[in-house]
Order: sequence, then C-alpha cells, then structure tokens
Amino acid sequence: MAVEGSGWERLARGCLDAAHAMQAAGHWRACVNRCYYAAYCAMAACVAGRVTFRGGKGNPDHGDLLAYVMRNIPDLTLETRHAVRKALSALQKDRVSADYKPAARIDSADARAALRDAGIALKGLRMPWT
Amino acid sequence: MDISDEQVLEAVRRHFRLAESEGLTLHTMQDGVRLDNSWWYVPVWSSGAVLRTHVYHAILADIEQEIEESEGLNVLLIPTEPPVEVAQTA
Repeated sequence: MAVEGSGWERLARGCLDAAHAMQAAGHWRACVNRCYYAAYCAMAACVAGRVTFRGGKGNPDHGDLLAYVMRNIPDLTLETRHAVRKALSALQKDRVSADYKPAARIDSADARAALRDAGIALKGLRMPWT
Repeated sequence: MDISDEQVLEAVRRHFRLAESEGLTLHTMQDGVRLDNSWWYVPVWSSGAVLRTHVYHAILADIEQEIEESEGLNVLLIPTEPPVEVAQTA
C-alpha cells in the first residue's frame, strides 16, 4: 500500500521506536507526540504520489490526514477506514494537548492509549513491519 | 449540498448525548466554526466529569464518526477552553 522508497515508512517506524523509548523513559508527552507522528508518516507513505499535498509542499497538511483516510486510500475496508480515522483523530487531539497544553494531564495511561492508537493506524495502513 | 454553520452545530449537538453516559456535558458555539476542504472544524468544551485526556479525545472521535455516518458530515471537534464569559460564570 505504501509507496516504496518514499522514505515515509522509515520515518514512521523511527517515530514508533522513539515512542516506545519515550514510554520506557517515562516521558509521556514525548511518547504521545511520537505516536502521532508515526501515524502521520504512515499516512504520508500511503498517499505520497497519489495526492498533491496542500500548498505544493512535500508533506501532508495535518488538517488533511482524515480526509486522506476517507477518500484517498482505496483498498481499505470500511471497518479499517473507520478504525484508522478514529485512531488518527484521537491522536491528533492527544498530540495538541501533549505539545501545547502544559496544564493538561498526560500520564502513563495516555501514553499507552496513544501507542494503542498508533498501532491501530499503522496496522490499518499496512505498514510492512507491523 | 450547502449547509450553514447553524445547521452544522445543530447536527453536532444531536450527537453530544454520546458523551453523557460518561458524565460529560459538551458545549459548542458558532464562533470558531469553519469549513476547510469539506471538513467542518467545530470548537467544543466540556463540563461535568473530568476524564483522562485520551478518554475525552476518544469520545470526541467517536462522536465525529457517528456524525459522519448518520449526517454525512465531516466534522472535526476541536477541544478548546470555554469562552471567558462562560468560564467566569461557571
């Protein structure tokens, strides 16, 4: 599914590895951040070459990811499409809280949930190493 | 189909009951609603129960999904702080 050689798959895997390392180190916010970017990079891997990214940039706009899930990856079942959409949407919100809302409570349970959602997104998008 | 901000808010509010089973009351307002690339961005804030961050966000994602399935609207619920006048009277 992902476009080979785009490099996005490699970035996705690196982000997921980093998320696990951050979890092990107790850096819950950094873990959530890396989980989101693992899913972001996996999405980019799936749509690179199929869509023109907003503004002619080389990477997807964050606001377009859910639209890509719903419209631009034809070989997903409806069930998988909905699961990936939900995981991505929750991860996006988690990431904003983790990065920009210091008063928000982000703890080990949030990090675990983010890892779970990243797993749903990466498996749903059929990253070859999942 | 053309749809107004008010109609989107009405549609969104119809699905807020999903949060009520968690003891959560959701609120939204027209100010801040915007349409971008066929997706409606709708600010929301909550009162009532205080949930874990991820649990709250997962509920919002569930509501987005329900709105898409039953209303045919692509909505992103954006967690935000209540407007100042609401926060001061709460």
